[in-house]
Amino acid sequence: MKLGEKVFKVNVTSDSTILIEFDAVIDPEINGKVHALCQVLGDYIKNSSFDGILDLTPTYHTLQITYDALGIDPFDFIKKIELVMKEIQYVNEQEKEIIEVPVCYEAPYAPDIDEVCGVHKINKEELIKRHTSRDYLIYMMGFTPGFPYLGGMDKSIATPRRPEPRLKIDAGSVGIAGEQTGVYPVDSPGGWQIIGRTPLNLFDVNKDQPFLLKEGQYVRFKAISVQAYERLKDHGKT
Amino acid sequence: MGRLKIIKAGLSSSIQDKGRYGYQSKGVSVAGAMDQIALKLANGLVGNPLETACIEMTLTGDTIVFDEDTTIAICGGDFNFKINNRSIEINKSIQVISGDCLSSDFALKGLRAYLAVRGGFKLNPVLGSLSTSEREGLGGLGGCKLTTGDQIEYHKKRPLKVARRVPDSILQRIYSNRVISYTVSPEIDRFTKEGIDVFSASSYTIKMDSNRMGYRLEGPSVSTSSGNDMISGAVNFGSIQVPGNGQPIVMMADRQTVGGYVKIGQVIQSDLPYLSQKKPGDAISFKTIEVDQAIIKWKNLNTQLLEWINSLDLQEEDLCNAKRYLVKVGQRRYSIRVSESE
Repeated sequence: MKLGEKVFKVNVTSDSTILIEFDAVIDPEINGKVHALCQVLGDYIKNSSFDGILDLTPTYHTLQITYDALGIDPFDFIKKIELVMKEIQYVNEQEKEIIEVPVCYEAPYAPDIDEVCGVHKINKEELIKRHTSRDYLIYMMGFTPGFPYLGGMDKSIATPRRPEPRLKIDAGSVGIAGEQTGVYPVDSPGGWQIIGRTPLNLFDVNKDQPFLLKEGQYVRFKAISVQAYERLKDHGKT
Repeated sequence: MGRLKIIKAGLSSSIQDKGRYGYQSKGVSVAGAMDQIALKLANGLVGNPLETACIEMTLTGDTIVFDEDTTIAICGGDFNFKINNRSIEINKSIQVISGDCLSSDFALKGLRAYLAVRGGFKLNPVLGSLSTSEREGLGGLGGCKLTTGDQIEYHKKRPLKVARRVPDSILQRIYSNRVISYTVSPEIDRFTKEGIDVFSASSYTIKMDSNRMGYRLEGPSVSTSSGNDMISGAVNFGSIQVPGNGQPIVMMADRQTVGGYVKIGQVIQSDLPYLSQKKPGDAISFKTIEVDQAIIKWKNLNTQLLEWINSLDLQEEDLCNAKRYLVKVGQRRYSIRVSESE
């Protein structure tokens, strides 16, 4: 994949941040460049042991670098990374990495599924088929720890948020909000239409790998029965 | 090992350090002390590494009993702190002895006070930080703010030989009245010229529902030329978002990692302590500054702070009979100080 010489801008945007911007669109290819660049820069920063880079935050079309001005001169640093980026005209096309996420679309885990089916005048099987037939790109993570911003949902099942947000949505809940679909990693309040629940833990701070998902990967939902949900849930606990 | 016990918890107190960096790409909030300079000053006063976790108290303080002799310091807000009911000064190192009780009234000056204990707290970091993120349930004591009955262990170190006090010149530099400076955001062209002018020319009141996540401001509406939504991008400590109603929100320590409102700019780091000490109802105003100037301000402030702390450390070492050696390696000379370890 070509990074492109002039398709991105690099600027020191504040006394703590540098921003690398690609074209301002939500697009898998642009987002792929963000993640590829994040990987390359992450490795470069690690190998050059820069003192004063605190964080890399990839989003839809930008990559933000949080720096500590007491450890690094950001204007020098952007000259260095511009050189690095000039050298890497091409970044390796990352192989599409698909994470299968089992979802139980049945009661009691799918409180809003009938309502969503009603909106679109389709039966449950058809809704599940449309929801599980796509691979969803994780454009970025945000909102709460481990929450994936997924793209690519079938627009024919887009459903407005609930008029009254729920005070608590259980961790693992899979929902639809407008043209977006997503999974709640932790219990949180929210207005999404809940159509199922996964037994997987998206975020567990006690694990060596606290986050199940990574930005740039794809999520594929797979329908499972209540029995399978409970078996997997119990399995996850041990 | 010493232990402190919260006899009566303040309104909203929590363990905070520099913040949880390195996980914004996973959606984890940075959290951390709202007043990062007060955190450093309090630690400097007790001889701790400057980003050691402190107890951040908001509006009212905790009543705390210490069960081992130690040195403490409080910086930031002045809540009329007392030891055994006798008033003590803030911005000064204080010796406490076993059984001493720290108490306070409410915030007379400022909003957030930082209590540092010499040696630091014995707590386990979560994702590299002790900072409490209440919304995420991470860090501190079980991810929660402090409650009555909580106990926290602290490391025991030999007491400091020299009493320490923060010079007024540093306090002046951090907290003197000012127009808050911000650097303009890359989306500045999303705002009308009128909107940008109004923002800099007006006074804004901090609304009551402001908290560690964000300061909501009330004042003349800041207008945009092409709507207030944008493709969600990273938000930072000090980012000034402007939603559709034109009323700015300054993102603070507990902010989410990404946001979808247009940003007019970002409050410079040197002015964040001043802002963090402002209470709901207070009025503030803003002006722009260039990024390179903002960096110089931040560096100068930190240099002054470090010079002060280094001078204290040298005094302390001298009193501990430190030996100095001059070592030549190649063409370079190194001054090495050796003192007895604790």
